[in-house]
Amino acid sequence: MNPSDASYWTDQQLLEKYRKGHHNEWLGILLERYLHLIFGVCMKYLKNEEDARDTTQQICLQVLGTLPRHQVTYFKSWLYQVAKNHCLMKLRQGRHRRILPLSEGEIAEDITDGERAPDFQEQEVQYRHLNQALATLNEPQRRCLELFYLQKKTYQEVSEEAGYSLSQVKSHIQNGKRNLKLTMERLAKEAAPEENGNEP
Amino acid sequence: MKTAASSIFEQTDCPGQQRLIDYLEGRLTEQETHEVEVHVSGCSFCSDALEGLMAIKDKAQIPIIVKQIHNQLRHDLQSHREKKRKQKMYVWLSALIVIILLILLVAFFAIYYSMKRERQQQHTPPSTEQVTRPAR
Repeated sequence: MNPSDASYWTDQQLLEKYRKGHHNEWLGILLERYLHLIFGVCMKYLKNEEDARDTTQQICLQVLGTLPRHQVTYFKSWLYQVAKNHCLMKLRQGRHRRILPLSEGEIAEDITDGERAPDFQEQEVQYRHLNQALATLNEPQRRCLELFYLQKKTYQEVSEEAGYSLSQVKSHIQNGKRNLKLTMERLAKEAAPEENGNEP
Repeated sequence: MKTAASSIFEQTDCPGQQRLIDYLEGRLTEQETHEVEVHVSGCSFCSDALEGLMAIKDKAQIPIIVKQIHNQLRHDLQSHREKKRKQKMYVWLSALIVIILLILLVAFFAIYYSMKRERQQQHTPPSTEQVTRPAR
């Protein structure tokens, strides 16, 4: 395989290639894929372009140095955690005097966030309990989720229609989605013993 | 409701750099905007990045900045590799010098002791048998 065709490869394939040969070329392609996102994360936390540039580079060098020692399955999530932790560490080191408050849910996010697709069985459980779970959400969260996911409206349209600000819409969708997932998991757990009990 | 669930928990690939910039600049259609937002709502990496990139006033600068970081990184890695290669070369060179010195040392001692033995043999007095044998 030639590195020039690498745009079609998945992260997993590139990671596999890197592990086999320990050739930084493959890791370079992976990093290049997410460089703009790393820079964006650095901008979010450091609020300064120069610092964000330097930190992006430091993060890439850190990844190049530490990846061989880690068993990484989901590169994107791992990279995000490395980038975020690096920025938070920089802020804690006091190089930046402004301490930025972390928004709700930012600290304890699932490392597999956005990576692992639920399997068929999990999906079945989700669909079964979705209606029930939606009903448990508070009105703003339910309304925003319905407008955004079911009616396929943009943030802006949801904001205009529901009468919330853009940041409120984002927050309601984010929190609503999390609550929905938790409720669906809880309902699935509650339902599991009953189903097992009904089995002959 | 199956469509709704799959839509809420749908996992898509991260949008590329240009797509995010187009989103930030409002150049996408409503459907494309919705697609980006659906992804961002489930991906903390993109969500944080988007928030950070929003702070760059001239969005056209983003690809340029990223390219510059990329080039700088490539340059740093190149010089790091060069440094490592030189270090490796120095180690080999030092090892070679040590080996040559050791060979020279061994050769010196070998020559020295063989010469010493020769000299000793030359100066050794004739054996007592030769001395006591009467001349005819």
